Formats: sequence, C-alpha cells, structure tokens
Amino acid sequence: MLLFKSITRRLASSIVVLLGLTVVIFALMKAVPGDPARLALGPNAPEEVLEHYREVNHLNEPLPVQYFYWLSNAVQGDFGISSYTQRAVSQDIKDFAPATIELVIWAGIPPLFIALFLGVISAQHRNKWPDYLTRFLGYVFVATPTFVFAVLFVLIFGYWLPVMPTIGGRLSPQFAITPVTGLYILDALIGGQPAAAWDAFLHLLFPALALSLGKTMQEARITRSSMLQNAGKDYITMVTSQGVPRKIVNRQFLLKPSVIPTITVMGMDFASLFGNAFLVERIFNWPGLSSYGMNAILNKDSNAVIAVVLIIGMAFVGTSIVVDIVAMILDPRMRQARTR
Amino acid sequence: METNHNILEIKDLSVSYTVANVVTHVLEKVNLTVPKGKSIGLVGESGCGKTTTMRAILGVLPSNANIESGEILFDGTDVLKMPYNQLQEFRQTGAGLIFQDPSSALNPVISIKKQFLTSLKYAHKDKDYSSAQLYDKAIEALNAVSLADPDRIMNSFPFQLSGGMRQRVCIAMTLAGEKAILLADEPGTALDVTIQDQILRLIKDLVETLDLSVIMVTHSLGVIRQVTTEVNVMYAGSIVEGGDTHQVFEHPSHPYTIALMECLPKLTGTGISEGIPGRIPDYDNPPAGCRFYPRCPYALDRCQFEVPGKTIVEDDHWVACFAAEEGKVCPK
Repeated sequence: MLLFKSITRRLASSIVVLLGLTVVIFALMKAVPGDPARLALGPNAPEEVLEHYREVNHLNEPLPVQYFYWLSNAVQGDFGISSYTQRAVSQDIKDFAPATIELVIWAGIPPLFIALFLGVISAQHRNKWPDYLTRFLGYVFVATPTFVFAVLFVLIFGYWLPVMPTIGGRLSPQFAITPVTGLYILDALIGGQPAAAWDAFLHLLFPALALSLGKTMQEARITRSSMLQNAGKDYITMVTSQGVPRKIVNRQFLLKPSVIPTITVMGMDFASLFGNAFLVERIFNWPGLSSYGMNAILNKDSNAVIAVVLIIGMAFVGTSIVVDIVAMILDPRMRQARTR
Repeated sequence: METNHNILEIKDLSVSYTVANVVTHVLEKVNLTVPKGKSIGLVGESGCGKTTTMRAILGVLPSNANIESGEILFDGTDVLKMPYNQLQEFRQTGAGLIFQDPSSALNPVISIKKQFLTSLKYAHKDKDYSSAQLYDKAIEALNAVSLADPDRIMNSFPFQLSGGMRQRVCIAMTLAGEKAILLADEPGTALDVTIQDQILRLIKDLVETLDLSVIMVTHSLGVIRQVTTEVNVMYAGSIVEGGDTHQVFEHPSHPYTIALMECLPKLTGTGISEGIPGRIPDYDNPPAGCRFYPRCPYALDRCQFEVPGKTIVEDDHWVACFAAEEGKVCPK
C-alpha cells in the first residue's frame, strides 16, 4: 500500500516534468533558424504552397498557441508529420522504438547482474588478482568509447571469426517474425521459431555488448567500493563478532546495503542508453529510435525531434520510478521517506 | 571447579594501527585477567584503547590494525592462534560484545527480528532450539531490558527506534546469547540514568545466576564501583593500576587514577572539577618512558625515559609508577 501511494505520487510529478520538457524542447526547436515550411516542401516550392502549409500547420500563430495545438494533438498520439520521412511521427516511433527498447534491455539488465557478481568477487578478493583484473579491465572499458567497441566487434566477430551477421540489422532476411511485442527474440519464441530467436540474439549480442561493457565495469567498481566501505561498518563487525559464518554475513548482511548505490547508478545508465545508442545503432545498422532521432536533428525535422526527446524523457522518468521501487524494496528507510 | 580459575587472560597484548603509512602504537603490553564468574572493570579516558582491547578479544579489529605481540587466552587456548572454526565457536559461545555506538551497530536495511534471530541461532547452535523458542528468548531478553511492546520492536527496522531503544536491543541481543564472557563496551552511554541503573543491575544478576564473567568498559568510575569487583585503570594504551575495586578506590596510587577520581562530580561538591590538564599523547610518537609523564604532577626525571614496572601497593592492588614506588604520590 505504501508502495502504491508513492508510485502514484511519482507518476503525478513525472507528468509535470514531462510537460516542462516539452515546453523547453518545443521552444528550442522553434528557435533554430530555418523555415519549417521550406524544409518540408523543398527549395522549389512556390510561395502560395508554402503559405498554405503554414496556415494548415498553424505556423503563423504565436508560439504559445502553436504549443497548445501541438500538445492537444500529442496527447491523442499525433505528433505531426515528419518532414524527413514524410510519414506520421507516431508511426515512425512505433516502428523504431521497439528495436532500441530491445537493445537497451539487453545492454542494461543482464550486465547489471554481471556487474554485481564482478563487484562482489573483487571486493572479496581485494588486492588480489581478481580485483586487479577487474580494475584493469574497468579502466580500459570505461575509457574506451562505445563506437570503438562496435567497430572492433565488427572487425573481430564479423570478419576474422565470422560468428556475427555482418549485414547488421535485427534479423537475417530468411526469417520472418510476426510482431507481438516488437522485441524480436521474445516474438520469435512466442511464435515457436527458436532458430529465428537465435538469429535475432546473434544480431543483438554485439551491439548490446558494445553499449554495456564500460557501464558494466563501472557498476562493478561501484559495487566493490560500497561493499568494502560497508564491510568496515559496526553492524558487520557486530554479526562477525557473534560468530555468524562469513558466507552468511556477506550474503545476508553485507550485500543488501551495498547494492543500493549500484542499482541507482544503473538506472541512470539504463535511461541514458536510449539517447546515446545512436553511434552503435549506426555501426550495426540497427533500425533504432536513437539513430532516427539523430537523423531528425540533422534534418531539422522538428516534429520528430520533439517526439523523440519526449520518448527519451519518458524512458528516464519510467526507469527512475522502477529504480525507486527497487530501492524501496531493498531499503526500508526509503519507504518511510517517500510516504511522509 | 578450582576457585581461582581464570576464564580469560590477556598477556602483553600490543596492537598498532597503520593510518596513511604512519604506525600508531595504541596498545602497549596490556595485561588483563578475568576470573570466572567475576566482573572486572576497565576504565580510562576515551581514546585510551579500551575498545581496541575488546575488539582484539573477538578478533574483529579493523583491517588496518596489527597485533604486534601478546596472547589472549580463553580457557587456556590462545584466541589469536585459533583456526577459523574454533574462533567462530568462541565468538558464538565464548564472548559477546555490547557495542558502544547504538546507532551504527544495527544493520539499517535488515529487520531487528532477522538480526536478533540470526545472532541467537549461532549463539545457541548446539541447543537445537526451534525458531519459535529462539523468538521467545528474544522477547524475554527485550522484556528484561524494559523495552515495551517487544513484538513491535522485533518487526521494526533500526531507523524506527530511538537511540536508547537501539542500544537496549543490542544489549538484549548480547545478553540473550548467554555467552561465557560479556564484554560491555560502555553500555548505557545513550541511556537515561534509571534505565542504565536497571541494565547494570541486570548484568549483575546475570553474573550471579549464570556464572557469567564480565569486562565492564567505561569511563565512569561510578559504574565501576557499582558493578565490578576488580578494576583496571588504562591510560594511553597501558594499564597503569589495577586490583580489588575497593582497595583501588580507597587508596588510588597512580597519579592518573587520583586525577580521575578528583574529576568525579560529587553530590556535595561546590563546583565543576578542573579536569586533567593536557591530553592523551600522540600514539605515533609516544613518550619513551611513562606515557602519563607529560601530564603528571608528580613526575620524576627517570619517568621520562623508563617505563615503570608493577609495584605492589596492597595484597590485591598494584600500580605502575616510579613516584608511587618511592612513596612520593600523596592523594589529597
């Protein structure tokens, strides 16, 4: 019940956040030089056609009025027409978002568990080889930009050891998947096509790895340092002094308070992937929202940009709510603070 | 059972800490003996090494501490040399520590119930209690430290309890473990006087009924007088005076003990005492001789360079002080 109350409160406040976000991005897009009508219709369009376009799209109205036109359409799921793809922005998002969502899920969730595992191992073997190894890999992986990994993977696993489908994309052409959720691996499994699921997995594996390696090692280091910090706390000394076996102390008393910072950091990493995946999406030819948003920006496609920013904002808000819920489950102090 | 059986004997224990590559010699040849069924006191200013001594007994010193030399004999076996399993058994049934700081000794994200029952499960490992029996034991212990509504406390998290309640939970947890030795590191510092009194009485009762032994660590001479039969006065990592509580209180012989006693507020007194001038020396560069030398009003020349040995004052009372040895210390 406490959880439910605080979730509704968070949802209500996130609507305000998202509205603020749309105002800012709307104003920014309008401040960018260039005539949207000219951009949409091309350099050779006659003046009457341009004027008609402006009239239909309310471009002659003052900015606040334009915003409210946009907002009333947006709440009905209509984000206008993309001047670049010439399709409804909502349709574009429907097509591109699931690819990024699938990529981000695989680049965000399994690596969290790997990070926790590595963090625990290096804390338990502090200043021994497992710790040095994760520290070394941590520096290397955090310092290497994701697109470098992407290019290396294409070279190594696409060319030298051809395990990865080099054409890229989400699926090899011989497979066809009936979309249910838009997440191909899941859809293939639902449709009873294990071979297609495996193919989709191979397509996904390397972009997901490229995106997650640096963050995984960073999260592992955070887990390690918070475990070591907590290991010196009185409450761990107390259970140790009571003769509780080391394994139980570590698993039941030390791990729980130590994973909370990692989960918080991971939540932010996860949300930022939505916007930052475009280089990796480009290299692996991944038809995702992030590269769609990049194209939209390069082409001054304001309707698409605003919609993509809004979607990324929603992803941020959504993950931070999920992270808060997990933190509240782990840390009773947070439950109290939220309901007060 | 022999009458003079010592359940715990600390012999020449020296412990140092390494902080930023500086070695600080905190404990210098500490000797402490706990006879079975007795409570002994360890008294001294904060920072003099009392807590370090307690933690050394259970092998839970911080990771930057090194035990330089010495033995800690529990029933004749050196705790410092015990293999892991035997050490665990000693921690489970041999000695229990009541932590000084109630706000940090309980895990913030785990319920009291889980912490309490885990500790009791291992303390009574050989007795085959069911979890319901362990729960009853916990409730009984919480009642004994006068916590109202123990069921609610069991289902709470530490942040939902006040400082005094948390400390009583810690005390109850350690008492319910029914271990052979109780190491009480300033129990009751966060409690009001009536509750503190009650807890001291409870500890005294346990000593009598369960044949428990206690090391009472405190900076309060009043507590020492109330609870212990023997007292050890610690200054800057060494024990400077010790013996029968009554005799030490009657004839305090070390200048530090005398100064401590003068600091005691008296009900009939007229003002606040002056305290002891100076402060505990730096441990990374302690005085070569007696560590109290820089603050000592009776200091002799040799005190600066030589460490005084034990001098017998009365049949069950000794002091480590050259001035006292020469009869030059005269309490007011």
